[in-house]
Amino acid sequence: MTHSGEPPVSSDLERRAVWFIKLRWLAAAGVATAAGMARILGLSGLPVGPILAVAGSLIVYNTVLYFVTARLSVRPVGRAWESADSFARLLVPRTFLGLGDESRVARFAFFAFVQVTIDFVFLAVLLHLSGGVGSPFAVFFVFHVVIASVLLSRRGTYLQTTVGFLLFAFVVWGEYFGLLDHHPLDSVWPACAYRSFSVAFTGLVVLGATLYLASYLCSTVAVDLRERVRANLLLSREIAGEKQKLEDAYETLRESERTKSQYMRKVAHELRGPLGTIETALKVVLQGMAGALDGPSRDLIGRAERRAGELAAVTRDLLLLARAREAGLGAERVTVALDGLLAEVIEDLRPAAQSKNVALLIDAGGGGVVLGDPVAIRQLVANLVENGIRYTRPGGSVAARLRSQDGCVMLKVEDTGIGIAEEDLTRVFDEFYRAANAREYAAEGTGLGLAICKVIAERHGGNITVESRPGHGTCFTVTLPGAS
Amino acid sequence: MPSRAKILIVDDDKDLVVALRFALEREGYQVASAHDLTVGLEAASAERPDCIVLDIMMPHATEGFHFVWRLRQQDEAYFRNVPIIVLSAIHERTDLRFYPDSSDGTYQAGEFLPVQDFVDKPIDPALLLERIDRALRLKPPA
Repeated sequence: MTHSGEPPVSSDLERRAVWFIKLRWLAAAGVATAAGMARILGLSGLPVGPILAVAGSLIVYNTVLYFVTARLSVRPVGRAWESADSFARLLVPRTFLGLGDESRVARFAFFAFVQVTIDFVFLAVLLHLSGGVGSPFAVFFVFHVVIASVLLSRRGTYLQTTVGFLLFAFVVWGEYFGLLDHHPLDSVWPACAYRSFSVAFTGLVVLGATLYLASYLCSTVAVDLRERVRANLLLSREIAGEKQKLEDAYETLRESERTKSQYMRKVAHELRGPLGTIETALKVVLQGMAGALDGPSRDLIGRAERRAGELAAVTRDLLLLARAREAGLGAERVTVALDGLLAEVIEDLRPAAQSKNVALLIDAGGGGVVLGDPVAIRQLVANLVENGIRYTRPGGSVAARLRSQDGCVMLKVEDTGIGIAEEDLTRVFDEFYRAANAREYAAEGTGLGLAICKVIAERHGGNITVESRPGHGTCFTVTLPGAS
Repeated sequence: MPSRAKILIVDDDKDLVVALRFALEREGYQVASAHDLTVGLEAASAERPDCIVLDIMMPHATEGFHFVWRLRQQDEAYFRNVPIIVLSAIHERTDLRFYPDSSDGTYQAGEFLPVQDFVDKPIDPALLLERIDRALRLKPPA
């Protein structure tokens, strides 16, 4: 299971392993400095040479670790690692399990355990060289317990604490029983203290209690923090999964929309040819070009021709709607000056308006240039003006106004027509929807014109809104982003 | 004079050709027809029509375009001048924009199409007659 875009679980451990190595450079420098300062401080008993040797070994050891860390990402093979692996898994904090990447996490945990153990050995040597049970370095054992609790499981932390404690006990009892030499810090230091059972015992108990208490406290906090990290990680994975599902669903929707629109276009296109021929043939007959026509035949042919015309208008509008929908899908865009375009549309429609005695008013002074498909935008403007003319009674007017503001171009087409009832306002942009008063007032009309307008406006990153007062008039407002 | 003029209809819709033939013959025109590009070019050479009425969307989508260019490319002045009226929903004011697109690379959207007139489909026969009459009147003398 891989989760792209998300750092692997082991990265947390890896980061700390690197940090741990950096700390050790400081420790080595500290040890060397302490050895150097011993004379100045009057710690005459301190064996400077061996302590410097410890500092040197620490540097060599840390250099080795530095290179090993870089290689840990590579999966080791061999029987040795196989047995180490099962032990390593005990050391991995439980919260890191079940998140994938486990073998890598186990390698880093094992690596941390080995490091802390070797550090304890260094620390024990340092302890031995600096006064044994009375050495001020004893408190450094606590640091390693803290580090172990951050990196390892609770079990691992106790195990690590025990390793440190046993090493400490080895030094204390070794010196007590005379198995190890004693290196007093200086002559003033009670030289016999390491030989006192009560001092050795008390020292052990106090340090043991400190180590185990520290390991309990730290691992409790660490487990709690790691639980939260785990919860966050699981949550973010869940969110990523949901996001992917949403994206997939959206893509499916887009695809089906595209298919629907292509299908619609194909069907409309197939219908258009034969319908056009029917219309033309009927017109030829109706206009007497194929011989004389008597009354009833003329009437029937006239009806057929009118109905064929209606059907042709629907297929034409369906085709326009499909084209408008697909226009957003990668059509080339050019700058379109709306003032000129509006003036042309108004001139084209002026004869229709005049024949109906509807005044056409134009105010294109506001200018406005948009980026888009000029054929589609012309269609949008023409549909709105045509609509205005269609639903305005003789003597009324249709006014088209162009304004530019805030980087947008606004076209308002306002008529003094029959208006739209409030309950119809939200539906006038639906496909095939015609308001009741519109159907009553004008028989012709496909119910697709405003749907086409809406698709075109939206495909150009704009929108279309409508306001109306039934009986007084309607105003459509198209807002398109201006071309910069 | 127009009554004896010869009109070539290049359109794959045979029913439409029949209907248009009635309308044109009634006005006294002689009518020839062709159902595709190749037959159309042959008919243009053989019949030397005074005007060509041309559909664009023939079997191969934009065959009408190829017809225009191949006809106009011929050396003889007749082929460069014979008026062509395109039967298609091209709007004169908009640039040439066709559906389907120009992806076959033989022409560019917006490229000038060397024809005399456009009549939108569905065709109003009276309007077509008017446009043919105009094209013949505007035709440069041979």
